[in-house]
Amino acid sequence: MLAYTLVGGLLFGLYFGLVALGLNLVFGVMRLVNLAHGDFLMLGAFAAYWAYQLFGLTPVSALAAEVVIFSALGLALYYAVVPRLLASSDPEMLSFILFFGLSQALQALAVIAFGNNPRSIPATVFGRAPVRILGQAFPAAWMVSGVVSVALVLFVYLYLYHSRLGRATRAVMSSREEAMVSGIDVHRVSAAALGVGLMLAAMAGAFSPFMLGSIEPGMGTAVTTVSFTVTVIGTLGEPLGTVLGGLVYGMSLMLMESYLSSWANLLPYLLLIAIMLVRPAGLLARRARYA
Amino acid sequence: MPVVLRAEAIEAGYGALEVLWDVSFAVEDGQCVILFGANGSGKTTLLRALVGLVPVMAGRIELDGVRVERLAPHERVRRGLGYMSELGIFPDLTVHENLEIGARGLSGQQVRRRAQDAYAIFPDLAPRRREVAGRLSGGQRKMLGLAKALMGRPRLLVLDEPSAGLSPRLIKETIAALRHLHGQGLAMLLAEQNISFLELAQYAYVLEGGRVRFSGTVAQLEHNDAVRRAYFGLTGL
Repeated sequence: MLAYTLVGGLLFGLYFGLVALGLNLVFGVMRLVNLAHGDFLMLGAFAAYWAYQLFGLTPVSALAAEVVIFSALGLALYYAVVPRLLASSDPEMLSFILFFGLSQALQALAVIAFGNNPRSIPATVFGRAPVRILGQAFPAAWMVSGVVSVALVLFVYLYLYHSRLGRATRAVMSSREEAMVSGIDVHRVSAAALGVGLMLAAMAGAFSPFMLGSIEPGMGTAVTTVSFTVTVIGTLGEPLGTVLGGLVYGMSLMLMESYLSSWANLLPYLLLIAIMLVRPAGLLARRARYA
Repeated sequence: MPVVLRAEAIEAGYGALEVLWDVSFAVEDGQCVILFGANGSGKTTLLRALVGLVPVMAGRIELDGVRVERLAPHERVRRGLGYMSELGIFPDLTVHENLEIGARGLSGQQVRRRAQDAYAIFPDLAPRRREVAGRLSGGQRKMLGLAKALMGRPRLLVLDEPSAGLSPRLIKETIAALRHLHGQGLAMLLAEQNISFLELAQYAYVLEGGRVRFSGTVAQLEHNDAVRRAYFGLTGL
């Protein structure tokens, strides 16, 4: 039982890290909370669902299309909305209202387009045989999700630490104003971050039928709450800290579901309150600010 | 001498709050110009307006004869404006990454060459190239800020209070570094309150309440009793 819980917690932790990674990247660069994050994940889930229904594509095969569609959507959304938002007198408050409105609009549009019925992709799409680890059997879909999550975290690491655009992204995260006067086009960097953020959300969405259960238009709100919890645990504005937040959340969720299953739905809120009381700046927060 | 930077009748501020009124000045090629003024006189606002962080409500700013007051900050930097703010660095990036950011748009080989030049001018930074910049001492941060601003080979280096937060010994070191750079022909514009920096400059402007109250050569400033009493509280320089 414990071995199953720990391995399952690890796989779910990696997945939740991926779910929240885009939210934290966008927050780190723009200091705006994308309250529609979970709704973009929902759209990614439906994209994978229809790719399977219409073309018989597995969620892994659908990822390439999701990369193109959702990164383009992120770029378009940025230039349509964010520069005006940042030019306002209170961009943080306005962003809450705007992204909340966008979340509601996406949910309403998804209901019109897909209806309210829950949908799913059969777990056997990745094969019928379970994967055995430490003598425990796990669905192949969980393993594929874990591998894709690790690959995408690695991609974000390489993007941030081994590319020019990534270095500029970290510079903007460190000090937006200093970046502007150092010759960095902060709008270009921020648009790229929103594109990558939405792309990551959509790719996480492709695996949500296996990791979160059935998909439906209203699922985004709960996903945003979980993403926010994972982000706060791992430290707001530290994208790679999100992986740690995801692992803490995934392990806690599996432990709760194994030993206190009726309390499992309370977990995001309990963890959020606990981290706010014990370590409000997150697990990876520095002891002192540099500047 | 050709003029690198010319500001004419600048009015600027924050939202409805106007801070600068009718401010005009110029920096010639190879010249060091100093802006003096007490806290709240508008020095930092003026520099922020020059680099595009504060909107210019009226007036014009020319860099090498080209109007730039409507350009974004990064476009002004790419046209040759180097700016060292009071922060001056990216505290979460390493020393070397800070230099790489400063050298925007260059090839890897050019960046390495310029970084080597920077480490030669500021040898304290070389052994710390992989350290996170936020862990440097105040003086080292200042040197890194200068090195970063120089990586883009600016036509004009603009410095906001380079003495802020530094000990007298570090102020002397900063002045020595700036003298070395100025000696190589780099035009500079400094906003300062510390009169030690006067020795670097050929021309001075004194700001008070967002307006230019004095402009002239440093020699004229040093012999102007009214300015000395009003702004430096000194009877002799």
